[in-house]
Amino acid sequence: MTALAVIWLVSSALAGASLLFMAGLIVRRVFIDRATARRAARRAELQALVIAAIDSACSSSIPPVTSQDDRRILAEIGRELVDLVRGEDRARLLILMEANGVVETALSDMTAGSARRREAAIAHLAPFNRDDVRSALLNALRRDPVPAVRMSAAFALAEWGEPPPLPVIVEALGGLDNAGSLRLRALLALVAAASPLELVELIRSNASPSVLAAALHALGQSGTLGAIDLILEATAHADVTVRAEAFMALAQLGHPDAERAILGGLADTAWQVRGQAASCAGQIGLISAIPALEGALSDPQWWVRLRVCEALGKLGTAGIDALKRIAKGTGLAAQTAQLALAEAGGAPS
Amino acid sequence: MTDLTLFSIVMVLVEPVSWAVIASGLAQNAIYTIQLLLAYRHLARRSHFEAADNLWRQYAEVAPPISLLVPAYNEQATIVESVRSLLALRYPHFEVIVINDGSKDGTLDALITGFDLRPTRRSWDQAVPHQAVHGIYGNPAFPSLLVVDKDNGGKADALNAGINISRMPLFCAVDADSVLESDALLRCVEPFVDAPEETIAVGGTIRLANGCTVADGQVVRVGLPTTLLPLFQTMEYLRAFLMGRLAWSEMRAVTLISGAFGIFRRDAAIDVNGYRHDTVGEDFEIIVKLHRAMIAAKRPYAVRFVPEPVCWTEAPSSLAVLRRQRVRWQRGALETFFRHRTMALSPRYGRIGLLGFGHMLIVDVLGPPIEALGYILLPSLWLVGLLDSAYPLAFFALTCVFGIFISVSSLILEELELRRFPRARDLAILFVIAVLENFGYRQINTLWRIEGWWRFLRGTRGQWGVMTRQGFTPRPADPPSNRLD
Repeated sequence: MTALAVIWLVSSALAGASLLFMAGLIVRRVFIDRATARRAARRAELQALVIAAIDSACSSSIPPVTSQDDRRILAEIGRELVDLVRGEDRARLLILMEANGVVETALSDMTAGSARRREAAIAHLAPFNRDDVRSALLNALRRDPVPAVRMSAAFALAEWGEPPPLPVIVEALGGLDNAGSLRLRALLALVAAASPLELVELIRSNASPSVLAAALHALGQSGTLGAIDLILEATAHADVTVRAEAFMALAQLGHPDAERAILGGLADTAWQVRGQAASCAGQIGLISAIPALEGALSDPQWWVRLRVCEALGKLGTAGIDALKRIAKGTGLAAQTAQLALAEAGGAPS
Repeated sequence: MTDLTLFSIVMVLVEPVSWAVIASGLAQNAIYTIQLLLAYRHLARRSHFEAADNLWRQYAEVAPPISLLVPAYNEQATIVESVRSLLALRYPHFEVIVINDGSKDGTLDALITGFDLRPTRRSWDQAVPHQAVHGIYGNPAFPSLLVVDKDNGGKADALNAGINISRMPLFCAVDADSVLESDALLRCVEPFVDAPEETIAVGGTIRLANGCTVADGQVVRVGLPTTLLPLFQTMEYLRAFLMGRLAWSEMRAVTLISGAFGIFRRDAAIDVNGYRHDTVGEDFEIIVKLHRAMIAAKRPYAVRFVPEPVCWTEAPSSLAVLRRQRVRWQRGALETFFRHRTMALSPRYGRIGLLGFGHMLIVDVLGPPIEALGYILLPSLWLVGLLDSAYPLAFFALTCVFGIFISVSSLILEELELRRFPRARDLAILFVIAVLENFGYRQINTLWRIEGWWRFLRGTRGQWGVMTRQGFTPRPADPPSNRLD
């Protein structure tokens, strides 16, 4: 075969494939459009029935839903509404969904081939704290091949206030290498709220700086006052991120024992730590830190100066007076204080 | 020199040049094929389901605060509506900073009147250079809005002022005339949530709003443009974003995040001294600078791309405006390539040096002149009887058909994963466009890129690109838009 023939052959094959794909795509779309329109109409119908049922306090006002597709639509509607309604309305909604087989359909979707369907099923199951749901979620946490689905399962369990043991979560998520992930940190905070000792153990386990920082964050968020000594110890850690996170945790706890650490933090070599220490002083309401904060208003880092101003602003009259006093002077500290006062006033200059 | 000698020289050059033309075409086709496969792999692996309320449930509590930086130059007619739409975005914690870059029209007055702004004072960081700021305006009734008035310095300069004045860990550079999806920030922040220490920049898909219905600052109905030029661009954008950028993201070698919408880590942008003023491709330049700085510092990092459409922009609908835009893009690409030429094909710069700059070399630097040479050379050789007419025809057919195949593949990706075009008819129209663009549009683009090369060689300073717009299609019940600029 000549080169010319090969070129024409390849061109013809590509042209044929393009035409074929396009024709297939258009035909497929026609069918999808029809199915989508039918589904949208059915969804609107079911949504109106569900809302009426919630309002009328009568679950029988919705005709029994029998098909799997209808149950999935009902699950979607329920998931959207469940965060919007409270009290008896919410309870009625959940009963209505359970009575119409939403939970069973979602449970069967937990073994679907599509990860999107499994993830949707987890979202639909999350409001139902039942043994079979818990078991399905634990199973997904341990065995689902997709990390995002495992993470969603862990969240659903943790949001009930009954997270699985930390080692189970860690194993399911393939370790804590990605401890910087903000979702993982939020999950650890939920774990800490239910069983803070697990996070304390994690800190004591010679974990890496990123894991330490995540654990400190979790303990701070959960308000675990019993961890105060560990957190204070972490303010002197060699890693900047850990030290900064320790001050954030101290700010959350608001414990007066933080005073000495804060004064040390304001003189830290890393500006990130100095900034967090200043914020912490403001958050705790540490009046005794005012002289140190005044000194920090001359910090070469703008972020530190900003945090110091914010902290002084939070310290009430004493803090504002300090700002006013400094604002009367000259130099960087005075300029910063003047701007902070103008901004705090909120009024136009 | 005799005619015979000249002819001999031409003949000696013809063969290598012809091979260069063919090799360049094959290399570009190979790149597109690889991009297609990588984009498909990325989309097939996505597990998150797209419902907006699910996004909110997953990310609202952990999403980091963002400053939206909106540089504005002569946007009097639309700026108030644009800002209202930005303030209504669905995101837990953000501020909008509009930077009036010395507009000659009433942009600032429109903002002051529209939001009842008053001069205010604010402490801000002098981290990156920019022209003088004359005033900052705010209104306690709109606590998330800040307007900065500064001397004219260009878009890059305005963004630098925004970076300094912002106080959030992330900033999002947005064009004042773009329309954002209400959950654009939530969608694009995902990489920052999942890997906050590594992720330094994220881009999202830009789509064309021509033919769409826009109401209250939102695209309420997606449609196709009704004229040919924006239709061609719709196809181009589909290919560029859904296939090209997604593939680069998959290879961890994204070298461009569109200036119309991109989220950056503020500290990373400051580390590279913000946006560069003396280029027309500041969006391209900052990404390359970020790569360069991170690689030099040996820090793990990621520049990512999110395939969901997040930003809608109006495409030029006249040849003159489109030409200006394409010439500017080409100049910008060349300026950045040659400024950072030591990165090209250098193993020291890893994927960026080898893949990113390799791609730029083939597609942006060598591509236009070689393609133009092909258009001239092959017919010329045929005319002087040195080439059998069957060959140029066959090569031209192969180039066209391959282009159509790539466009169809992009449509398949869009249809399987996003399905934003509402009617089956739209797909058929885009298929016709994918065929038609090979006959005239593609060639005129090559011509404009050659013009970009020429202007780059002559060298001119960066400035705001002048964009003549028709205005978005309003909802039928709405009054007609008074967008004129």
